[in-house]
Amino acid sequence: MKLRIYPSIGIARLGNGPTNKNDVVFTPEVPWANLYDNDLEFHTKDGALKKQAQRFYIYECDDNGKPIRKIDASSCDIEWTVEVANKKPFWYDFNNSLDLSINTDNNNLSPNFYTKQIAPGISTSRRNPNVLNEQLINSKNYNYRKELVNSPAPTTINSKNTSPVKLGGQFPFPLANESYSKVAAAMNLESKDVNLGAVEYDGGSLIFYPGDGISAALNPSDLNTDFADNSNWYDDICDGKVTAKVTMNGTTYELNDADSSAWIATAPPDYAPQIQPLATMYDLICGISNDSYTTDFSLIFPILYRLYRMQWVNLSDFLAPSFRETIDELTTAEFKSLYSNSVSAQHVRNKIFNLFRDPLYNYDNEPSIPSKSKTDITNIGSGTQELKYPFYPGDGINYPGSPAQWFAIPPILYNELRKWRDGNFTSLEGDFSTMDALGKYYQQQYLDAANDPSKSALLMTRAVLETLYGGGFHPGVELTWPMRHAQMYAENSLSFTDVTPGNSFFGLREIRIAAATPAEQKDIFYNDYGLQMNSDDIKESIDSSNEKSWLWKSTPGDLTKWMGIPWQSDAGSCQKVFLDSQYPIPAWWAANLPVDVLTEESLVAMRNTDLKPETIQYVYANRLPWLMTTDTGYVGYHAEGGYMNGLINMVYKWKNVGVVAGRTSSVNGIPELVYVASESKNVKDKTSIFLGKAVPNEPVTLVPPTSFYSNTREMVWIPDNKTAFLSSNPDGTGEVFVDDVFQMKINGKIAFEYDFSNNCSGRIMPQPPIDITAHLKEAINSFVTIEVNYIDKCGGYESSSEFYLIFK
Amino acid sequence: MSSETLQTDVLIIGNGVSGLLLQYVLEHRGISSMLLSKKNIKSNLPLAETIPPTTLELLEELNALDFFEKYATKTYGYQSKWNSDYIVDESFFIKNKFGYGLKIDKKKVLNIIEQNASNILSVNEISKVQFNEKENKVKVQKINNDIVDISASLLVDATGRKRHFLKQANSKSIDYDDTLAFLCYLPKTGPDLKYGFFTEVISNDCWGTVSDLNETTRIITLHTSKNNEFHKVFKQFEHWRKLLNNTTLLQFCLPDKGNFKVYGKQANSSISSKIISNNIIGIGDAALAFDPISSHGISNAIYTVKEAAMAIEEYLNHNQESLVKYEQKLYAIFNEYLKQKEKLYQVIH
Repeated sequence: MKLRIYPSIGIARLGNGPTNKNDVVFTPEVPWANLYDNDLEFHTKDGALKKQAQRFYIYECDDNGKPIRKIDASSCDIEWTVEVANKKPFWYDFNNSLDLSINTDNNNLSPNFYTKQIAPGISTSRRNPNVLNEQLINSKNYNYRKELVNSPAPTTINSKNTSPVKLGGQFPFPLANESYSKVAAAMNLESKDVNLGAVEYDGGSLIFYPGDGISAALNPSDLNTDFADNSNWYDDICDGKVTAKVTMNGTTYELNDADSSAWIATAPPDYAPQIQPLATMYDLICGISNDSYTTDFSLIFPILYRLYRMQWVNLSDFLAPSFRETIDELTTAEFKSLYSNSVSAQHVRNKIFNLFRDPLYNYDNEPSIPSKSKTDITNIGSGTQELKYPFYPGDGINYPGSPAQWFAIPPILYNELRKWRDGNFTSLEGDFSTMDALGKYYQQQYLDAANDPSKSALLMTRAVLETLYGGGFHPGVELTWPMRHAQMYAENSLSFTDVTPGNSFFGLREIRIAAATPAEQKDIFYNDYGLQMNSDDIKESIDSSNEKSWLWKSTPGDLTKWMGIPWQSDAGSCQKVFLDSQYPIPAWWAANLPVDVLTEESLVAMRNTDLKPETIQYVYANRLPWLMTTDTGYVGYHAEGGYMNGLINMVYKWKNVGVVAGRTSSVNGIPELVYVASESKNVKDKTSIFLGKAVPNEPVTLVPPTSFYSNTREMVWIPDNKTAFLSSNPDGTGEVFVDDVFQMKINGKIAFEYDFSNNCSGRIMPQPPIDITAHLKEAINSFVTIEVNYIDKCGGYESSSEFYLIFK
Repeated sequence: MSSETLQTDVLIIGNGVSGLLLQYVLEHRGISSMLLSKKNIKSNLPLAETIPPTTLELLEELNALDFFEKYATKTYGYQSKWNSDYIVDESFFIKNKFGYGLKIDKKKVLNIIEQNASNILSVNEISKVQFNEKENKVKVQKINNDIVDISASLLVDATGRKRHFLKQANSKSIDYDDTLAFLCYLPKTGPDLKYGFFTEVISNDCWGTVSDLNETTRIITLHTSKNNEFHKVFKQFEHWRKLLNNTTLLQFCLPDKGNFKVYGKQANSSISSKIISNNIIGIGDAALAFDPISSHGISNAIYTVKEAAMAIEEYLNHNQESLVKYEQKLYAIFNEYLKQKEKLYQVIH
């Protein structure tokens, strides 16, 4: 028997909400399943942005590795191990995608990139270049650069770990056998705790929780002024390996090789989880394989539908000219032409096909996007050709005049679209008159397929990959250009040609990251290409016999190291891109980082029955910049006013920006289901009372037991009908601890005590917010004096978190 | 049995802000001084006292800003509805060197100055002053019941409106009004206050303030004159809803349910007929006390400390005139204050 972990690639998304399975959203396990939900909540009751957690399961597979069913966790012992890292500060600056000058054998990149050098890769140097490998200077052995990799030790959990276990992490990261970071010490600092996430055992499955989304610079005054590269900065993104050990009927299975283990990556929040990226990572992975497909309408519809639905997150896709307009203008008969292969339908298909940009990028002459290095010379003669769809920038953005400045849909999709135009596809039987009617039909195919346990495993992987942006890569939202190369994968094979009979959707694939073996990992974990990395390095690395090919053997941190740091910089800055022509205005990754949104407030306003029908239409068309809540103004590829503000503000405002979610409109004249942005509201019915400060870790100087910190608050009102708890932050979400005992007196009498040392067991156990409602019963509806004492009970060291009393 | 005798240049009585701060300042200037601290029987209620930005400059000059900032929150102004139909916004942010004021925890501030002022003698009893031309003497009973004779060239009265020393030197309190303050602690209710402090006129002889004390609690204080025949009504919280019925904001700060204790106290403006007398010098409220509308209690204490410290230093350097000048300065300030107050109260009456 063979066992494998699914999904084989998982994604978890940062949020500032609690690490708790009741307060997170889970990564979808069936593609399209959530598209039409009208009641999803992406903020907690307290207004925090929920984390998106990923579940992993173990499947029993046949001898060919095809999944059969989930294993019964009650009949075996499962031990999960997760090893993650963040290598961003250790890696290289992002200038552009380094594979753009390379001849590859897969269909994801036009040969023109290689033959005509339409957007050459730009060589890049290291982030944090002042931190050196000492061997470069003298013969000493200490490599300071290794400290730039936040790489906590692997965390192993089993059925006893039914609450989240932190993965930990620090930046800079003290190396093995060192008690402190030498980089931090050189800056007269201590390493910062940068926790990369948490894991929990839940009925045999593993829940992976992401970090809290905290990014900062080691020097607090260093601002993040670049969209992708900021030395001194850290964030809590990570990726790494998920392995398991299963003992069943006396046999132990080690699921730790590339074939059976899984990979997890954390990513920025998806601010429009029900709106799919225009091109997805799944499209690219299909594009790698060079498989061929029998074309039915399920190979065509997704790209049409995704572009159509961008109207909810980008004004250019809502107003006219837009793809939405083209589709909505079709008569009922013309609409049916979309899914009919008849000759009479061809003119409609042809018209639509011609709207799309050819990913081959033969030199055409669309308007150019000005470079950051501005001059006043008008681009005479440029932009003679009409702008094609989609209105989004592409990998070649750095080069004004390059056709690749514009994003083209992946070649595999474009090729199917061409077959469709020519009528070389199977018509869809049925009677559909709207895009959503078609969407619901195809959603049902996925839901039906998920009932098949064998397909359900592969659908999980696909559901993950369909939510990840598949370009343009500059660098992207979650993962970037290396993902479009075959070398990235240990396995990428077609397991089912159809999702359901007659509905292929490019089939279901078994996809495994080419994870390094433990021995390989030991050798290559800290590898880089020296002071500079360029396209030639990547070109050579693609040859598996070349010594540079280690690049494609993934170790923890390798998938996310290419992304911008801090992640908020790119997420907040990549919005609209201003051109000479002011309409339509292209934008970056609107399906995950929206650009223009319909707000929840507008929806409420439209429900006012006194409004004239045309006023409803005005309100409906009044889309607001998504980032308005960060006061960034419009930001884009250019350094116009507001750009820098946007980068900086996003670091702390990311959790307050609106999330676009489906809601039933109940308004005449607009769609029944609308996708509206709702922001994190400041939740007013919560009171946080400061009780005591955080005490840094210091050796005890007095004979225990002694109180090493004390604070008194007078005239504090204890309300009734509220829950009271202790937290280390005013949000009410932070873990609390004292080394050793926390004591709280009310009006001079001890009301609550907690021994975090568990009677001097030698280990201080921080606790999630502690409910103390019952201990305040006698004081309800009165003003009290609260005294807190931090008591050293066991000697050794003393320290504490901050303490707040929260009423909710 | 002969009692212990102590000698000091300056003997201060009163352990409020003015007394403690003066002791700290004198000590730093190398002037021998001692503070008599009578054990407080009643514990002070915490008040949400505001120090305006101008006073912060004085504190900085006295090297005492840290004491006040440590247990304070910054405040950026206040709002009032007084001489107008509109709410007027007084922002500190645009004012002078400090763009903020401080809301302080008075008890903690007193504690911290006390820790930094070294020569404090806790006593149970203080005798009457034996006046002498050169040196005044007092007898005190320490908390261990020992008796100590203390002689000092200067006595400083920092006992607030009690004017413990000054009264013995035949100085009289001159009261200028009969303001009463009724103060009530309430769980935070109603709208958030932009600056944590708001004041408004309630009726023609009554005004009130609401001030945030901490995360859960607000203080509403109503002021009226003893001459108001209904002033006893103010003593009961149950009447407050009716009293505040026509207010713009205060009424919304009253919780829907619950009965809360109201504390009444005198809050009149008064001045000592003599601020300097028989080598006694008054500081803080003992010298001059403003009514609470000016919110100047602590600022006054700090200002008089600064001026008194200078005067005392010169006096000890044999400049007899310095004390007289100090007194004249304070009288001038008080007269100016009275003029301003007349203007404000005209609006009410």
